Order: sequence, then structure tokens, then C-alpha cells
Amino acid sequence: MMKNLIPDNPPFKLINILYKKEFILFMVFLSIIIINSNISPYFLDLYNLIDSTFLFSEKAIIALSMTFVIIARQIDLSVASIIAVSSCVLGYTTSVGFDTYLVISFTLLSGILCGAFNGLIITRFAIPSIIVTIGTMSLFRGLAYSFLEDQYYNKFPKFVVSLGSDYLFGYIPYAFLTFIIMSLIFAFILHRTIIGKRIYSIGNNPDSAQYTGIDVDRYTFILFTLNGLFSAVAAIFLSGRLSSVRPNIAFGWELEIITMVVLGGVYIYGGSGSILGVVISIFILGMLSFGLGLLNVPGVGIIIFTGLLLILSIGFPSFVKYFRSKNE
Amino acid sequence: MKLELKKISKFFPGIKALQKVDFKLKDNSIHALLGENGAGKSTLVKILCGVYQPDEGKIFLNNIEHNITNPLESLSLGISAIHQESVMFDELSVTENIFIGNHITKPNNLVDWQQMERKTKELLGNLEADIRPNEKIKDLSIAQRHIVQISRSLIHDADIVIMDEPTASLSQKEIDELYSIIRNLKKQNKSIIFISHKLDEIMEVCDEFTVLRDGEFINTDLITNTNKDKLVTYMVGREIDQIFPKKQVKIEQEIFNVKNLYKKTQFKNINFNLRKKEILGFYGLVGSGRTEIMKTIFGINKYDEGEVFFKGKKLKIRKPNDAIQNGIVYLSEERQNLGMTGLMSVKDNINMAVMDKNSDYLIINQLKEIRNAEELQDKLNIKVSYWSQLAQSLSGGNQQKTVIAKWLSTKPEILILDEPTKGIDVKSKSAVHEFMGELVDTGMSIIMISSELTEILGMCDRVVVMYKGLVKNILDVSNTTSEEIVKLASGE
Repeated sequence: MMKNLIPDNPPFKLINILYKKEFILFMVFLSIIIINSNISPYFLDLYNLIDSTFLFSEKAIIALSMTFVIIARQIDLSVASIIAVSSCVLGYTTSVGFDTYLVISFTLLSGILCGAFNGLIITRFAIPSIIVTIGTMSLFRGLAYSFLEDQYYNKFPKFVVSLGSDYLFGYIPYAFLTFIIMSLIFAFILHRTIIGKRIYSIGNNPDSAQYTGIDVDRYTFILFTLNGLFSAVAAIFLSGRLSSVRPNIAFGWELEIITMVVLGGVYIYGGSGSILGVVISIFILGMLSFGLGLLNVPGVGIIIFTGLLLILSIGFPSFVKYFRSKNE
Repeated sequence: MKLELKKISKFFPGIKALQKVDFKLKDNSIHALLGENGAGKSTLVKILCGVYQPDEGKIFLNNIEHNITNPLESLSLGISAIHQESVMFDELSVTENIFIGNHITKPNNLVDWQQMERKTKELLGNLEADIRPNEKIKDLSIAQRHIVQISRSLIHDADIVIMDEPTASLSQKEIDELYSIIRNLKKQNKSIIFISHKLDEIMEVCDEFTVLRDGEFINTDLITNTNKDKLVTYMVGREIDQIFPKKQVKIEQEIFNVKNLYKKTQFKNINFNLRKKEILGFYGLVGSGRTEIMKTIFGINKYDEGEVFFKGKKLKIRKPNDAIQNGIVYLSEERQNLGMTGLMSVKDNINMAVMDKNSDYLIINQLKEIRNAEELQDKLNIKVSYWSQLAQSLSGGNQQKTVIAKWLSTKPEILILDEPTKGIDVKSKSAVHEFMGELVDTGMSIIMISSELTEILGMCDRVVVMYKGLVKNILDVSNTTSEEIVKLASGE
């Protein structure tokens, strides 16, 4: 007897690709490149382009782990404050003369501890992550302020400085390289392993996931810890690049990072999104601010553009639906 | 004649939801509207409520023709519907819910709380309901919410009250109270359209019935002129000799044993055992601790004292995964919230509990996933067009099958089913029952929680009767009567 085979996917239709978030984002990215290169002759200069990655690589690294957090129906607003704490730890351990590998270890450990603290409070006491991380956002930042007061660190191990400001083979900044490698690893974990599938299922329906034997609390805890770790990684690159740590370092980054993730098509209530989308969105935001910077558009202009872009690209499918139903 | 529908038709793209349906509702009558899922009952109700407009046909209220074009119009004509899932404001009080959109105001336009509260008290008193006017809706039981909805329809001077499966989640005691309220309404010269899947209660409370099948009118008559078998035949369109085709299997040795299970404020002294190939029923009122015990055994909640043995070995279950690894799975009655993940694919849902087995070093093995999904789709006959189809786009019956497929993937030895046939139509119900018979035949054991006595008596080998967190007795089904079970369950 012939078995009635069920296909994996519905019949292929070109129109469905046009509606994909990643496709829309890619089109936005292309148009930004085209517009920018027409307006400014310096835009397509290879060295300029490469250097422009310094503007976003540190945030982009955190955006990757933040993608996991948001897909799992959580949010972490404390990442920028964790950068401040970890940068202080980096500066302090250097100033008391620790070896480079110890300095790095302590810095990473501080990020892990901050993230784990978030995760512990959220899972043990079942408090919404938005509340907990608003709290720790102030708490961690406050710790950095009270530790440093009006002082600053400007001495870091040579290795850290070189990580933050040097290039591999003279071309590729280390922070950018780290981001690219990590995004490949994160894409693999999210889309090809059962860890990723579990994160999606937790984000879609946490109760159902728990009833299916998935340890939701453990996943949540690990994701926040991971986010802390990546904040510390970003702190190392950032401190190395700036060669100076004040307690207000990376101020306001948490929203910029969440914007990267949400613009990338990750649903803010969890359950859907892709690493590819987030990576394209990071490039869009990077190229946008680089291009506007070349045109001497002030920071305010960049913020306005970013806001418009976010609403337009995320809202695109809804706009199409709205105008279609109006025409009927 | 209070209400008369003449040759009502309603078409949706590709579907004839109703075709020339006639419906007559007399004064002072409780009228059962019967049919399987998809027979057109909901469409008919929505037309009466003004949510849909009929494509053909006429509606007469007290012999005057009316066009009901929107819900407000329906309400002002005295038609009020009490929906299955209550449409109320959880955070507001009983009074506020009853008077919502209809506030009583003082001459100076301020809200007259005192008078509204007094009226609420009076209404609830007439219904002999023990509810305080200032209680929040979220603190009420489902039965009490129904009563608030009924009060709300009385405020609107409803002449016709439509009740869509009002007893679906109620305990026997609450059901009896609701019946007396319904009879009370009838005395106040109101007519009731009563939708239910439970034939026993239709025989008990209703005066007349109308049966729909596939959007067509089948029959209408007085209840006294019919019986349950005839009703089933009208609904299904064929004779069903037995609603519960229980397969006879030989029960083997004990495999599961619960000793002195105790959880503070929920249940105590819980002792029962389960034998291989047995179907063990759990009967009791809602809140008697049935579901709580199963959730504890499955590792959702922790127990304070007691022991659980599986094949003679003591089990330590701290989380659901421990139970699943030992071959014990629990299918919750809340299919949508706790069973499936609606926005993930059917394939992912079927494989959700066996991701470990379908992967190599954490990396998903697509071939194994498809193979598992195909095997279960074939076994359960899940109607799916393609594997990436989202689970929520399936029909209710197929969703339930998908959840069952998820659990069968784990090759369980003990299957705990919590109200597995709640809210599904007669045909799907008997399919579920038939399938349970097949499962025990292959060596599985089943614990089934059910609020339906006929289901317990028809399917189970033994039944555990619970009352207020205690096991009252464990009865051999072949050796007991429904009266005995009901008595035990109500604490006598």
C-alpha cells in the first residue's frame, strides 16, 4: 500500500519569501548601503567600513545572548550596568597587579555572578525579569559608582588593550571577529540543537514546556548567567578600546541592544526570531549610524532614524495587511 | 411563540455553516440545542446574538420579524448569552461586572454604588446564591461566575437566555444548584436555550430539543418523546450500539503503588495501586484533590509525606522529567495552556518530549524526528497537511491527538489522562475511548480523571472516589452503581 506522505512544508511560493522578516531586513540593509554610498564618497572605503564595526561590535556580542533571553520570554535590562561592574573589576584587578589571565578570569567571573544573581532572583522567587533587572540595573550601576566615585581606571594589561583596538592580520578588529564567530555558534545552537528548540518552546508556552519535562527554571537561570558573561566579554573589549573606565561606561546601552534584537524580528513576548535577523539588524544599525556620522548628522538624528526604522520594518507586514483590508 | 427562526442559512467561504435551519422556542421552555462539534450550534447562537447576520431566512421574536444587526441590538431585544468561557472583568467586583455599561447614576451624574450594591444583593438573593457583591470575579469559582453572568442577563431584562455548556467545569453539587436556578428562571417566564454535550443532563432539565447535524436541521421534539440513544442517533447520523466500546483485556500484576501520600491543605492518606493493563478511574467533585494528586505524582508539585512505588522500586520524583523518564506521563485537561505549544509546528509538538532521543550530541536529527512524527501521525490519524503547520491551526480533536502523540512518543507505561474527553463531540469521544482500549491492550496502564459518571462506568476497571482530599473508597466498577459513587463523592 502506498503511504500518504506528508510534505515538510507547504508548496513553495515566492510571495512568502517577500513577507519574511529577514528578507525585509536585508532589503533595508541594501538600501541603506546604496543611499549611503551615493551620498558620501567615503562610505564604501574598505578601511572606513572595517573601522565602523568598532561602533557596534561590543553591543552586538551582547545582542546575541540577549536574543536567547528574549526568545525565552524574558528581558534583561541590567547588561549595561554589568559592563560597568565588570570594567571596574578589570581596572581594579589590574591596578593591584594581578597577572593578565587572572584579570580576565575575575572580569568574566564578575559578569557571571551578576547574571547568575539576576537568574537566581527571577527563578527562585518567580519575580518578572523586567522588575528584577530594572532593580539590578540601578544596583549594579550604583555599585560601580560607589566603588569608583569620581576616580577612573586608565591602566589595563597590554593584552586587553590590544584586544580592544588591534586587528587580526591588520584587517579584522578582534571584537568584530568575536562577534562573527559567536553569531555562527549562536545560530547553530538556536536553530540546529535541542537547546535552541527548548528555548523556543519555553518562550512560546512556558507552562506547557514545564509539563513536557523541560526544566524551565534551569534554562532561565543559565540564559541570564550567559547574558552576564557576555556583558563581561563586551566590557573587556570596550575597556580595552577606550583605555579608560568611568562608572558611567556604556550608559544606556541596554535599550540599544534590545533595539538590535527587536529590529531583527525577535518577538518581544518570546517564542520567535532568528540569529540571522538579528545579525542583519546589527549591520543595518551600524551602517546607519556610520553613514549618518559621515554626513555629520548629530546623535539626535541617529536616534530619530533608528526609531523610525524600528517601527517601519517591524510594522511592515502589519501595514501591508491594514492597507489591503482597507482596499477590499 | 417566543422565538422562531425560519430557513436560516449562513455561508462562509467554502463552508455551509447553516442550511435552511428552522428553530422554535416556546414560552417558559428549556430548549436543548444538540449537535456534534461543527454542527452549526455556535453559528446559530452567534446569529441570535447579532455577531453574524444570516445570509437567508427570517427571525421572529414574539411573532414580529426582526433584523439583528449587532450585539447591542440583540441585548436590547432581550436575548442574552452566557458563554462557555466567561467574558468578564477579573479584577472588577461582582457589582461592577453586573452593571457594566449599565451603571445606575445619581441625579448629579455620579455612580450610585449603594443602590447598585443593593440591587446586586437582591438579584443574587433571588437566585439563592452565596456571593458577596464586592468580591472580585477572579476569586469566584466557575459556577459562581456563571451565576454572575446570569444576574447580568437579568439586569438587562433578558427574555431569552442562551447557555453554552454551562456545566462543563462544574461539580455535581454546583450543577444541581445551577439546575435549580435554571428552573427558577423558567418560572419567571423566561425561555432558555441550553447547549450541552452531556445527554444525561439534557434528559434531566430540558423540555424540548433541536438537533443539528452538518449545518442542517435534523429533528425537534419534546424531551419526553425521546431517549438518549435516539438523540445520539440524530446527532451522529448512525446507530452507535455502545458509546464506550471497552475492549476486554486481562489485567496483570500490580506495577504502581502510592502509599500515604500527603500534601498540606490539598490531600492526605492517599493509598491506591494500579495494575498492568488496567484503567483506573478517579471520580470526585472539582476541588476534591484528583488533579492535585496527579500533578504531584507527575512532579509538578511536591508532596510533604508518602511514598510512590513503580514496579516495586521506590520512586523519587522531583520534576516532571523524572516521571517521564520512568514512563509516567500526565495529559492535562488544559490542552491549550499546558498541553501544546500552539505557535510551534505539529512535528515539533509531537517530538517535544523526546528531543533527547531524536538528537545526536544535542544536535537535532531531522530524520529521526520525521520518522517519529510519521509513525504517530499514522497511528492516531492526525489530519495534518504539512509538517511545519502550526499546531494551533489544527482542529480541537486533532490538537488533542497531537498532545497524545507527544506523550506516546515517550513510550510510557502509565498514562494519566485528566478529563480526556471534556468538550469534544460524541464521535471524537468514542474514538478516544476506543484508543484507550487499544493502549491497555498493548500493555499500558491508564489513570483517568473524569467528571462524567457514564464514562467512568463504561471505561474503567476500578474507580477511586474522592471527597475533600480523601480517598473515600476504591470500587470495582462491575460491582457498583452510579448512585453509590455519587453518594461517596458527595461525602455521604
